[in-house]
Parts: sequence; C-alpha cells; structure tokens
Amino acid sequence: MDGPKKDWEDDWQQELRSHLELRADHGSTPTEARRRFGNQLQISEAIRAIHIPVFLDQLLQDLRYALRSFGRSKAFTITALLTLALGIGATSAVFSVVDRILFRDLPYPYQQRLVSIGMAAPNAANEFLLSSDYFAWQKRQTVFESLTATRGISNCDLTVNDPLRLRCVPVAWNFLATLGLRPIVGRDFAATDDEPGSPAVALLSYSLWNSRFGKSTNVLGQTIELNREPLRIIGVLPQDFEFPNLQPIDILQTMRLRPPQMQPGQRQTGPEFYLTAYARLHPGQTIAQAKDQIQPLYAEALARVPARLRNEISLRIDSLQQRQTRDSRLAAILLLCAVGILLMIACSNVANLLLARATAREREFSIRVAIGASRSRLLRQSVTESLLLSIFGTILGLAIATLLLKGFVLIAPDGLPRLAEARLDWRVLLAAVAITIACTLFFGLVPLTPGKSKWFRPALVTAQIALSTVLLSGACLFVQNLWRLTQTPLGIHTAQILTAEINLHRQRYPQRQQRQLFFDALEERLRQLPGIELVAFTDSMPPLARSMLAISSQIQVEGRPAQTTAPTGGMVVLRSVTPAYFAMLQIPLLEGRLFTEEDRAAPVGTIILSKRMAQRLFPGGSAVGHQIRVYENPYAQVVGVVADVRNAGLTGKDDPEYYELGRRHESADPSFGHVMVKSSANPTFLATALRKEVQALDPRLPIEFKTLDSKVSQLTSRQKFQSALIAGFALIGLLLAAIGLHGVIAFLVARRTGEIGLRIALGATPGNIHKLILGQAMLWTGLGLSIGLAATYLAFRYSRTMLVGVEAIDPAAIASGAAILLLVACFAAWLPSLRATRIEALAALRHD
Amino acid sequence: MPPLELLILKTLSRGPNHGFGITLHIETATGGLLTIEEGSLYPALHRMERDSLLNSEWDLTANSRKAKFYRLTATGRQRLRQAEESWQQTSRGVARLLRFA
Repeated sequence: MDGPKKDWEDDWQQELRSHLELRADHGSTPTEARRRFGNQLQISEAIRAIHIPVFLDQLLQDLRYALRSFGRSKAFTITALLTLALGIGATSAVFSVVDRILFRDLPYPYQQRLVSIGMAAPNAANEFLLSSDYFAWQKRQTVFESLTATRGISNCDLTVNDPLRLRCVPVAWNFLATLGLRPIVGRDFAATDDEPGSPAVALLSYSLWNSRFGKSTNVLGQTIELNREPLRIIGVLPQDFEFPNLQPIDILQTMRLRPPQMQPGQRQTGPEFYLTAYARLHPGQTIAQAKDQIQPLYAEALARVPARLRNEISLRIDSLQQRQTRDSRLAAILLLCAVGILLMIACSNVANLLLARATAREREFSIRVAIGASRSRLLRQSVTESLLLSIFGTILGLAIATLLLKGFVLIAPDGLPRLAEARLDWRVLLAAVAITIACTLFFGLVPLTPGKSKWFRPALVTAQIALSTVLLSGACLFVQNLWRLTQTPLGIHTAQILTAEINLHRQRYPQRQQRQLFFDALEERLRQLPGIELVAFTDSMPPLARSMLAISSQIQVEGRPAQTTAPTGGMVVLRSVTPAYFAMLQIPLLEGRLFTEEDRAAPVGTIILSKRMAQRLFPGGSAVGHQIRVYENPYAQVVGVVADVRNAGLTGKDDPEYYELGRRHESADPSFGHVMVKSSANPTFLATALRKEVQALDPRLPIEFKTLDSKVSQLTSRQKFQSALIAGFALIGLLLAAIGLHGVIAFLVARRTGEIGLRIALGATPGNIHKLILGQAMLWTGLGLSIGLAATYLAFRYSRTMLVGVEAIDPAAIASGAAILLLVACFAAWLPSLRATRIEALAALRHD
Repeated sequence: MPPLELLILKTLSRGPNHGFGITLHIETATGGLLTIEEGSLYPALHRMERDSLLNSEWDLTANSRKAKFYRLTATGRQRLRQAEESWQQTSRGVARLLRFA
C-alpha cells in the first residue's frame, strides 16, 4: 500500500506545483493562481479517492464484518475451523509420510538402474541366491553392468572394555561401487579384500564413527576387536548411507567366501550360503530384458536344485524401489484411502455448516439488500468469509499436521523406511488447502445462487454417513483382526519372564567345553540370585524366531525306510532347550514325561515332540518310546509329547516342533542361546542385577535383558499401528458425520418450528414429534448406511487378497461398525428432536 | 453545459497538453464563454487516466517548465467520437425543444 500511494501523491503534488507555475508565467500572481484553484485540500481528497482502489477499502470492511460475524456465531466458527483443520492436517501428514515411503528417491546415484535379483521360494521370506550360483553368475554374466551380493545382517559385538552390540553385514567387495557410492573417509573395499583368508577389513557407519571414534580420521588403519577377532578399519560410510533392505547397520565387512570349484551342471561340494543379490542394469535396459537374458544361467542354477523343490522356485527381479516398498506399500495405500475419505467427510461437513449458516442469515442478507447492498457486494462478502475460514483452517491444520507427523514417527513400527525423516510436504499441503478453499468457496456461494434445492443438504449428510460407514467398518475389521492376533493363545505363558540373547565368541571360547562351562556357570549364578524362581536356556524363543528349521522329510524314525522321494512335507522347528523350559513357559505335557536334570547327564539323547509333530509322525499311535533322528545325528528316544505353541511370529502358519535336550549332541553348538529367568521381582531392577551376573563372568559380553511380554507385543506393532491410525480416522470421521447430521436436523427443526408448534397445539404427543423428526433423520442415515455397507463390501472384496492379516470379511465386524454409526446418528438426531418436542405452541405460532 | 469529459477529450484530440494548457485552450477556443475550474479538471483527468482514456508523461513546455502532459489513448479517441455524437444529438434536441416552446 505504501509504495504506490507515495507515487501518486508525489506525482500529484508536483503536477499541482507545475500548474501554479504555468499560471504564474501566464501573468497571474501566486495568490491569485492559488485562489483560482479553489480548495486544494478538497481536490487532493477527490484525487485520492480516485487512486485508492475501492475494492481494497471494501475488502477491509468485509474482513472486519466477517470477523465480527464469526465472533457472533462462535459454535459455527469453532466447528468449521476444527473440521477444516482436521481435514487439512490429517491429509497433509499422511500424504507426507506415504510420499516418503512410496515415492522417495533412493540415496544411490544409480538408483534408477538398481534391482534386486534372486530365487523366490515359498519357505524363504525373501529372494536369495546360493553362493555357488552367485559366483557362477558373477564370472559369466554380461546381463548386468554390475552384480553384487550381501550376506545377512547379524549381531556382532565390539569386544573391548565397555562392550557394544553392533549390526554387521558381510558384503561382496563391489557392493558400494554397484550402488554408486564411495566411503567419505578412507577407501572402498578392493577385490583382494574379498579373497578367502585375506585379513579382515571394515567400513564403519557414520554414526558409529561419530559415537565411538569422535569422527577422528585416525581410525583409518586402526584395528578393532569384533567378536574377539581383529578387524582393520579402512573407511567410513556416508552419513546418509542406508542398507538396501533398510535395516540399520554399523559395520560393513567383506564376505571372503571361496568360489566353489565345479563344472557347470554339477552339484557343488562344500558349504553353501544364502546371499541377497543386487545388480545394476545397463543404461536403457529394462527388467524384462534382463530377466530374459539371465535365463540360461538361471536354468543352470535351477538344475542344481533338488528336483522336488524345482517347481516351487521362481526367478524374481524387482527394481530396488519396489523391493523396498513391497511390505509397506499396502499399509501406505490403505492409509491414503482412509485419509482421503476423511478429507471428503470434512469438506462435506464444512459445506453443510456453511449452508446452515447461510440459511440462518437469509434475513440478514435480505436486510442488507433492502438498504442498498448489491448482489455482487454480498457475493464478495461470502467469498471473504470463506477465504478467511480457509486461511485460519490452514494455520490450524498445519499445527495438526506437524503434531500428527511427530505422532506417526513415535508409534510407527520398524520397517517403514526412513519415516523419521518425513517432513511436511508443501505440495501436499497446498493441494489440501486448494481443495478446502474450493469447497468452502463453492458452498459459501451456493446459498446466493437462485434455486438452491431442498435435497442438497440431506444428500450431503447421506454421503457423509456412507463415507463414515466405510471408514468405521474398515476400522472394525482391523481392530478385530488385531484383537484376534493378540488374543490367540500363544501356547505359552509370558508373564514375569525376562530374557536375553547371549552370543559367545569363538575367539574367546574356542573350545566347545569352554562355552559349555560358561553356560553352566551362568545357570548356577542366576539360580543363586534371590527371588529367581526358574532359569532356563533355549536356542530360540517362541513365538518369535525359528532359528533352526529342518525339512520334515529329513526326520527319520528308526525302523522305517528313509523318505527320499516324498514331497518335502513342510518345515519343522528344532529347539534345543534345558529341562526348566517347559515349566517356565507352562507348556502342558500331554503324554509321557518332560526332560529331567538326570537326562542331561545320560548317555542316550532324549526328545520331546509337539502334539502336531507326534500326530504327523505317528498318526493314531503313541510317539513315546520311539527312536528318532534328524539328518545324520544319532537316534534319540521320544520321552514325551507336549502341547503346540505358536512358533511362526503371530501372523505366520505354525509348524510342528521337535525339542531336544540342550547340549546333548556334539553337533549342537552352545555358543548362542537365549537365557530365560522367571521372577516376580521388578523387571527393571532384575535386569540390572542379571546384567551384573553376566558381566561378572565376562565383562566384555554385551547383554540386555527384556521382558518376554514386550518382545511378544512388538510382534504386532505393525498391526497396532495400522489399526490405531485407521480407528483414529474413523472416529474423527464419525464425529464429523454426527456433527453434520445434528446440524441438518437442528436446522430443519428451526425451520419447521411453526409447523411443529401447530401440531403440538392440535394435540401431537412428544412421541409423534420424535417420530416426525427422527423418521426423516433415519431415512437419510439408513440410505447412507446402505450405500456405505455396499461400498465397504465391494472395497474389501476387491482388496481382500492384498490385505495383510485381514483374512476374511467378517460380517460381525462390519455390523458392529454399522451399529456404532447408527447409535451415534440416533443420538445426533435425537438432541434436536428433543428440542422440537419442547417447542411451546404459542411461542411457535408467533415465530414467523 | 457539455460534459467536462467531452471538452477535455476534444482539446486533447489536437495533441498532448498539460492541465493548465487544457483550461487555457477551452477558454480561448470558446472565446471565454466556457471556463473550467481547476478543482474539477484535475480529478476528471486522473479518473480518465485510471479508466485508460488518457495516459500521461512528464515533459518540458515551450518555456522549459516541467509539466505533466496528457495524451489520448485509442479508447479515449473512441470515447470522443461517441461523446461528440451524443452531445450533438442532445444539443439538437434541446435546440428544437427551445424553438418549439
């Protein structure tokens, strides 16, 4: 305002001076000239009026007027603002997260051309490449510009004073180069670093370099001790480095595997490793082309797979982007749908509120028209109010979006890639604001257009109810699914149990005997602690992990022919436990007896089968007394059968179990195990005490005790996250729909005050009035509900195969969603209906 | 009294001029029958400029005085034709009416 104003004012003053000068030149005295000019102030005012745009003046007036009228109808303003803010906030936050998950750029220079490649098999969670195939392909393939592989990420311990448990991963030497990355300090791996027997070298993650070595470049060439083995640091990874599977890692090592010596088509001898392979396509090459071109090599690899497994294996090449979002894509899309519905509900709610308000202001507007306001002036007033609402709504929405985003990061489960880095996406925010502005503008103007129809608001309410139904029934499905997951009996009692992983290092405990002694000593020490009821060891913890799996057909019963040609028969969980294990987890004994302390010293091995296992091996008969072995191990006697436990996470299909008594077999390696302790003591204090006991035996062994409960509840974190979000959105949507319905009914009651008063005067009972008002409300609700239910059914039917964990459309869940909605709708309609019954006949008749 | 706008447009149709020049021309051309008050001239000029009938430029007069010169735009020229026509019609009508009485 200041700039242009100065311009024209200066200009005018100059023009005035020049005029007086010219007149003076023409012979007038200055006073005469000024007199002829008339009232200067008045002219200047007239000029000013020409230059200050009228609409600005009126805009200020409109703004003042709008603020005043918002102040007068506080309930309307607050509801509309909150609705807008919730819609904008939730949409922006969710879109920002989803954009981050599905569409982000990967931090690799070659990201467009990176793929994951491997064999997919039904019993492997992810595709893999056997090490012999990897080496064969590496040597002979020309399909890819570069092919690389990694082994699995595993725990490793920095065994120095103040020991630290880290995440290490061995990779092929060309791993970083394939991604297109370089260490920021030091050098990359060289081919010679990856040769078997070469000295161990490592690249540190930036965060480890920072936290442990203070970002000093002196670390280069320094030797650290990892799992008691020396390791030379040669470089540091970039700060934004992420491992392709998005797991956190601290140290990259080389694999140093020996390429097998073999002829094509021949089975190799020696150990095989499961590798995860990544490759870089040639520029311009497509995945389909690569898949075609790798076929000959793949066929050779497949030929080495045992015949009966061949049909179950397929080649899988995915872009790295796809590979990373495979698991989270569905959750992301689901969230998008939920929040999209929420935004629609919010918009129609604001529309409803604006319409209701416009009707209430009809009288005000007609007065303004009567005293001379033009139609366009009223239009502008409405636009101003709509825009003002949108602006305040946006500001509030921003705050809500920021909060929500923080909340998401807090409650999000692991595996949603880089969620913590999600920032509010401005494009998305703009889009959401544009939608709401369009919506408020449109519905702000509808009241001014002639011929507004009667069905418009009921239609809006019906749509809102339909949308809410979809959200609510969806949420009910998810919550029910979560409930089922957490309520399904685990087969074990998890209360009052603390557990920790122990990983003994070969360097410090090279002899099997030494490792045995450590565990014996630890068991003894823990038993001595006051308040400890039970101490047990196992090599894997139900229901989480299945560290040892065997193919069912590898289990041999003495006296029966070995199965070689039969189908694989699925997997079997092998668990090596100590006698207290069953008592600790309260797994019921069904037949025979449990392990005893005497068994541990006995010369013959003892075995306990799960019920499922016993039924599979000995259908109809008793398993107790039989001799069984796995692979080439010595036979052991089955002494008992116990109940089944869940052993495939919570969502997977459970497998039969085979328990052997811990540390009986020479082949069983007691270097790794879970220690379990049962006590009613406070878990936090107990964890510290237990840690001290372990450290007393080996101060360089990192260890952390956690409650078994917390570990189990982590298993459902993903489902909880999804359910919580969708339920949250559903509740907000329900609230908004209820507000909408209430608003419309209240408006109708106000409109029909006279009619209702007349009915009461003529003897209508409150029951009659309720019937009249609620009848109408229920008509819309019923209509909306039907549409919503149909939409829900179709949506879930269509997406059933994609929904993780939601196995079936449970009519009960959808019905409960509908019931909740019906209840809330009744309440929302009942309030104004109640008001209607209290209308006083006389007052009402004077109403109009 | 013809509309001020017509007088201004007609004056400027002879070429660009400043405010004082316009008053002077109208006085001399009408032989002193019509005089323009500056108090209404300048608001009219500014309004006509805002409505794009005129545009303006600072320039030097014959006596090397700085003055703001107004000039007709295409719209202004068009408006002049309409205004002339409508004024002639009006004045003919008024003349007839006066004769009739």
